[in-house]
Amino acid sequence: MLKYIIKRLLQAIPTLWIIITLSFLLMHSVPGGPFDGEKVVNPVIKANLEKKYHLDKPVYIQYGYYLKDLLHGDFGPSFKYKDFTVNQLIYDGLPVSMTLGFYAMSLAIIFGIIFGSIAALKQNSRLDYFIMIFAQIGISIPSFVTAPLMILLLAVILNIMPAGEWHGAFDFKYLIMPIIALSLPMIAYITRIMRGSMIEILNSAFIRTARAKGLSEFRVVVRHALKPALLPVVSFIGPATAAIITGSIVIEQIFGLPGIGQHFIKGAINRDYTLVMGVVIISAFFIILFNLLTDILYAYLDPRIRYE
Amino acid sequence: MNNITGRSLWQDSYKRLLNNKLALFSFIFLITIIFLIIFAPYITKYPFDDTDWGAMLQSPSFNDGHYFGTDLLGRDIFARTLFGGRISLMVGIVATLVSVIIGITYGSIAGFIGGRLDHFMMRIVDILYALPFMFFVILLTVFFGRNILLIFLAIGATNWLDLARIVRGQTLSLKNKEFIEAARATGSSSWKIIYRHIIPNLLGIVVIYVTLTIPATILAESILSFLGLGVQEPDTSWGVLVNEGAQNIQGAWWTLVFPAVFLSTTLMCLNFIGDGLRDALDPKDR
Amino acid sequence: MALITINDLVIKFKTNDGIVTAVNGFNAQIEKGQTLGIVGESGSGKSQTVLAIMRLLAKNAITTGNIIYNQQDLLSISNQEIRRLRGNKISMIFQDPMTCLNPYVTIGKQLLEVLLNHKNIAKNDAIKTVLNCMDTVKIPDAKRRINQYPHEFSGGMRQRIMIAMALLCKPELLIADEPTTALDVTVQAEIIALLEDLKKYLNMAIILITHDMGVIASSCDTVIVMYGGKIMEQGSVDDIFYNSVHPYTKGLLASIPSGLQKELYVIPGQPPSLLNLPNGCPFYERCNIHIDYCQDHMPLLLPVNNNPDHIKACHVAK
Repeated sequence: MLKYIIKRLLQAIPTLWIIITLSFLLMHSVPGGPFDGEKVVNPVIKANLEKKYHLDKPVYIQYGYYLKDLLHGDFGPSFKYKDFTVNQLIYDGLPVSMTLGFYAMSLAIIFGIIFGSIAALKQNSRLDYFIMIFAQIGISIPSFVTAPLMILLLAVILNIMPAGEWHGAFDFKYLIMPIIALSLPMIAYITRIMRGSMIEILNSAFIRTARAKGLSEFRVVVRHALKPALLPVVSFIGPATAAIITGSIVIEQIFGLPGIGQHFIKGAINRDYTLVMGVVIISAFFIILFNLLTDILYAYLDPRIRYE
Repeated sequence: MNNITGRSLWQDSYKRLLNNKLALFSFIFLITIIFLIIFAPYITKYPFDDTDWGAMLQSPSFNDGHYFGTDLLGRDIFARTLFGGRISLMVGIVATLVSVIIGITYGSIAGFIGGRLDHFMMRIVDILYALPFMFFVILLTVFFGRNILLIFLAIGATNWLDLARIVRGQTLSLKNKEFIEAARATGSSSWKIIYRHIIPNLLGIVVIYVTLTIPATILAESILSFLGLGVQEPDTSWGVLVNEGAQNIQGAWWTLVFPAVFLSTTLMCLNFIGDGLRDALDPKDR
Repeated sequence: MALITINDLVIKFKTNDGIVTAVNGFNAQIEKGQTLGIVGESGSGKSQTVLAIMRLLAKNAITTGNIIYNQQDLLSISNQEIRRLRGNKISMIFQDPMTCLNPYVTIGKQLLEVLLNHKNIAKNDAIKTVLNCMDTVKIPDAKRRINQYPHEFSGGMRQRIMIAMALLCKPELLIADEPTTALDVTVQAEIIALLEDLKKYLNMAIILITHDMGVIASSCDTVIVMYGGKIMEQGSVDDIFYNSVHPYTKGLLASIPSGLQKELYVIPGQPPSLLNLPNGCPFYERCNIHIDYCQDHMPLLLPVNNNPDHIKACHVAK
């Protein structure tokens, strides 16, 4: 098992490095720097600033500096917000986005598994049919449609929920709408995955054996079917993390939440190199981390993988 | 006499598809929407970019032709919705085409050459799978300008992974010498094998892939436009319209609801059809 | 007194294409301590018949008739009651031990749960019983291997585990659905021999389903030959092998390859469509001694040579 973990770690690190490098190249392939297009700056000051940030050096040297700083956990200063370092901006925004993402993912996993299992156990019944229709709708309607509609209905018309502020990770009144809007497509995806996988498992030979042993249906489902049925859901958590991260950009925008998604958009528009790269790298880091964790979880659940 | 007429795979699938009422309804719905969009110039009373300061934020009315009302600048929402649909659908189709081309090319090269190159190429696919593509699409559009061609390419470049994998698998099985030798041994020429076995399999998968990718690309374009990074004025798309509508929620619900409904319904129909096709061609005991 | 009596069992399935008749009237008596072999091609209905005994048929099955065990009709007792019997009084082992064992659970747990589910026994005693059982079915190094997963065993070993699982509660009847088909020939012989020993040791009845006449010959007491969901011929193993009269049985026996043949014998034709079963004998199309009458008139099971234990369903054969 340990060998497996180490192997996966060794695969994850180059991936992160590639992303860092790609982002860097992308940022530097574009004409225009962070100090262009601003109010006219004294050319001497501009030259000094550029020297300070190594912008006068060739690209590969800038790359070297960047990597060095990264290894020290330093994302560098924000080019746009002169008084802040990227680290600060990220530290401000990250908890917001993480809270949002955590709640949304938890909701998605819990409800996805529950709905999917119910649909599978009652396959082809009306309940199953309705669950699947709702799941399909949940996948099809984009979050930037559901979110404003929710605001319209709940905040404007019915006026039962506030919208568009951040009051910390535990003031749920302000969190409900963004979390639901963010998690809805994920709940739908996981419901479908869980249903499909549960149905497949329930039709498999070893479940028939379990029934032939006289076990109660409850035991058959919980002790024999559930764990293997969960495997595709576990595999999905990796891509789901990526989806939630991208989804949260939109949600933060709509609800005006001060997360790192907002920083990303502003940074992209302002050509704030370091900020944008910081956000991309942090996001990639989390995605890779979650992929790694889910791979390990998968190996834990499936004994056949463990010993390869 | 017991005569069992064999049913080909296609006949079976066709029958299953027709029985899928949801997919059928979705298809009809979709055709209706496409119809409306194609014939937009003949059904809309006003051009989509015509600002009318005398009719700002007017609610929907049948009489004066503003069926869906007007927006902040007095532009007809009905026309904007239909013309916006043109852009959204066009992006969807073209970007999907880009995906398909990249996917088939990549996959067949990997499968055909095989060996270390194949291994390497698939490792890249694995890595790319884990990445949030929206990030790169956003970066690309911000840095290289917001022209529509770039949007096609950028979105298309984010969706080809699944197809590449499948095509590679098929190509590998084509390359499998025993398979070809066996077919030769029974007298089939290679072209016949390709024609009879590989292509039908591949065709089904590509069709399913296309019906499921088009909504994904439309969605991607919508998100871009929603964030203000997509199509530029004077063009509009459903994403732009939803964005504009979202800003006018209070008091002018029609600016949001109509484009939102069109967008969501189109996506839903495409997804239902895609699901139906997938079930028809590869039923898994529904 | 027969252990199980099956009366007029008919099994149909509701499918999208229509109603499929898998078993079209099956009657049999299974005696205590005896091995009944059921032989036939794929689609002849043999598996569905025995699945009906265990009430493990698919959800879209329509079953009529009755299966009497212990003065109860297994087809109409409650779910709870049939579960009490499964794995306990009547056990079943299946064809492919690779897919029939849960790959995500240790074999120890899979074995233990049968005991703990049916018997009021302390866990430690249960573990001892399981280890004993593993020894009996000749799984070496039981104490260590009890915590391993199915994929860590060979095919033959896995089948032994399945057998152990089926016999832990000392059932009165063991149903074995093609237990050796998925195994190597040498392993086949071992498994059959193992079943023989266990049968004697536990004095249990066995229903053995197979399409391999060699297996029938070596281990069965009585034989039923099925085709198209109906019984074609039934009798003692000697009757079937030495005195068979039904053309299908004869065809099966002729298909057994002997080393001296130049060409393998094959019964010509295809099995009937279970959607559109003919009114007459299901074997009509492929039969080499049929007459016109056979096409529309279902033959009844009648004794051969006045021997009530040897019956055949054929208008022509004597």
